[in-house]
Amino acid sequence: MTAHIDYSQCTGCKKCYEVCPLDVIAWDEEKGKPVVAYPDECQLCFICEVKCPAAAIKVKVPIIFW
Amino acid sequence: MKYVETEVLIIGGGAAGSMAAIRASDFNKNIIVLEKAVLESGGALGIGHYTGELNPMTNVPGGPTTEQFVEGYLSSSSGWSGIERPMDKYIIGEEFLNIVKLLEEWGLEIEKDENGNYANYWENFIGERMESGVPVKGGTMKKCLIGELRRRNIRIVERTMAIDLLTKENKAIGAVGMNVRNGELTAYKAKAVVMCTGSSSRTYIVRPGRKWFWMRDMGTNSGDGRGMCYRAGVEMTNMELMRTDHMIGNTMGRFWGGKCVNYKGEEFLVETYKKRWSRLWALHLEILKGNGPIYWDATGLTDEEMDKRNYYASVEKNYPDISIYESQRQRGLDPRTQRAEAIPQPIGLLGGADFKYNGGTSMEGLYAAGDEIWQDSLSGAFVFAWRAGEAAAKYSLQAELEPVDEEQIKAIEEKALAPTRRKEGYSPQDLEEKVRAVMTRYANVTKTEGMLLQGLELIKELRERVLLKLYAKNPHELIRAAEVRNIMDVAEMHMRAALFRTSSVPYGRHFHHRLDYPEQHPAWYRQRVLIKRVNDGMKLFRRMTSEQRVPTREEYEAIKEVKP
Repeated sequence: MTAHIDYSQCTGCKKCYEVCPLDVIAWDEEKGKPVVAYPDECQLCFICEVKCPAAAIKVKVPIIFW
Repeated sequence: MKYVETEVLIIGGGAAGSMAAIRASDFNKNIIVLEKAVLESGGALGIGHYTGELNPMTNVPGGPTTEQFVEGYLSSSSGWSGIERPMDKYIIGEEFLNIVKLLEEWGLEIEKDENGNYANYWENFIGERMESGVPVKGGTMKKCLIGELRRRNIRIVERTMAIDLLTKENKAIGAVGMNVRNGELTAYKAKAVVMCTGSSSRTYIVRPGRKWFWMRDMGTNSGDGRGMCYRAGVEMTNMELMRTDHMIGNTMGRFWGGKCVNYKGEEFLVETYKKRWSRLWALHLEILKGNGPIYWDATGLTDEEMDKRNYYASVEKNYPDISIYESQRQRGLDPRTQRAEAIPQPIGLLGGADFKYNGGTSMEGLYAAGDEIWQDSLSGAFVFAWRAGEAAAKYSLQAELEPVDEEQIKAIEEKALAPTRRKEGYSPQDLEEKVRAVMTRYANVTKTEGMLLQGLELIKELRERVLLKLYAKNPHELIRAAEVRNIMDVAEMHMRAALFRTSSVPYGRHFHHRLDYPEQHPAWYRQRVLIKRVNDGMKLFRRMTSEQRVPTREEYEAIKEVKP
C-alpha cells in the first residue's frame, strides 16, 4: 500500500527521492530507480505523486474506516 | 565528527525556521539552517497544511483593531483557559500585517477586493468577534519563502537532523546534526541558536493499526526541539495541554460548509460556544455523554457550495485533503449523500520551551519560534520567528564563538551512534510504536492519576529495557532512533505535567482533562506548569502567567523593540 511506482513510466529523475520528507523512498544506485523502502512510514502526504514529472507514482490510500 | 562554524544556527526549515532565517539575515549574513527533510517539502507548509487563508487581518479596512482582535480572542474559549499570555496575541495583531505585505512582495497571491485592499472575511460564530482572514494561494507559500531564502544566499543544510544542543553552562553554543542519508555527524558551532522544529505530533497512535505514521500533522515532527531543549536544561511549559482534532478518514476533518452533528443528527456546538468550551473539548464531551459518533454532515449542501468547499480544500492548497477525497472515493462514499464520521483524536502536544516576547528561552543564546513554542497558528509562527530571528542575530553580533567541550561532543556521539554499534536489538520503529501506544492508552484525552502513574512506569521500563538496546541497521533507522529519544522525553514530560496539574482546563484550543479533578480549580487559574531537567530527573513547579486582559498600548510599546 501507500506509494506505488510504475517503473515503466519512471524516468529515474530522483524527484520523489528528493522530496519525500520522511525518507520513505530510497534510491537504488544499480538500477538508477527509486524504491519504496519504508512503506509503513508513509504519511500519505501525496507529495511524491504531486511532484513526479512523469506521473509514475500513485499513492494508494489503504482502506480507512476512521 | 566534522566541525562547522556559523553565527546564527536555525534548526528547522519550515514556516518559522525560514522566516527566522530571513529576518536574521537582515543583521547577520552568517547563518545556517538545518532541515531534517528538504526545504521544498519540509514543515507543515511543505506538504500543504493549513494554507488556505492568512489570519488575523487586523488594522485593515473592515478588520478589527489589535485591541478588538485580542478582546475577541480573550472572550472566546481560548481566553477562558487562564493560561494564555494576551501580549502574544497583541504582538501578532500589531505585527502580522507587515509579514503579509512581505509575503506578497515575495510572490504570494493574496485575494484583493474591488478597491485593491486585502479581502477580509469575518468569521462570526454566535455574534462573537472573531479573527478575520484573507484567502491566499497557500500552495505557493513555501515557494515564496524558499525564493527569498535563496535571494539572500542563506545556507541551507538539508536532510540533516539536529540531535542535541551544544551548551556551555546555561548557554547554547551550537548543535550536533546527523545526516539522514548517511548518518554522518557534524558539530555546528554558533553564537546563537533558534529552535524551530514544529509541533510534537508523533506522540499518539492516531490511526489504529500498523500505519503509525498516519496522523494529522507533518510526519517529521517528532518533538525534536522539545527533546533537545529539555535535555539541555531549558525550562519547558504547558506540556500537559493536549490538542485533539476531529479526524475524517486519514486527516483533519473540516466542518467547512457542512454541519457538525451527533448521531441523532443534532447540532450541539452552538450550545458549547455559549459555555465558552473549546470545540474539540465539546466533541469529546458529546461522545462521553453517549451521543457519539460525531459526523460531518454536508448532505444539505448545494453543488455550488460543495464546489466552493472543494476549492477551499483543493489539491493546490492542501495535499493532505487528497487523502480524504481518495479514501472516500475508493470506498465509494459521496459527502453529498452520506455523512462522514469525524473522530476527536489526540494529535499532539504544543507546549514547549517557555519563551519571552523576543523568542528567547531560559537559556542564553537560545531562541525558539513556531509550533515549537505554543504558537499554534501560522501568523504566530511568522511573527515570533521574525522576532526570534532578529533577537538571535542581534545577540550573535555581541557574542563570542565559544570553544566546544570535547567531552560533551563525545557523549552526544556515543549516545547517537550506540544503535549502530550493537549487533542486534530492538528496532527504533518498534519502540516508537510502543511509546505511542502507552500514550494512547494511559495519557489520552481523559486522564487520571492512576493511569498516568502506570504510564510513567511503562515509559521507565521502555527506557531501561528497550531504549538502551536499540539496533539500527542503517542511517535511516539511526534517525528513527534519535527521534524516538525525543518522543520519549516529550511523552514523559506530558505525563508528569498532567499528573502535576491537579485540575482540568476545559477551555482553549488545547485542554487538559483529569477525570479525578474534572473542574478548573481556582488555585490553578493563571498557573503554568514548568518542567526543568535537574540531575537527570524532571523537576516540576508552577509559575503565574500574565493577567487575562487586553494589554495596553504602553505595555506593548515597552516590548515592541526586539532586543537580543
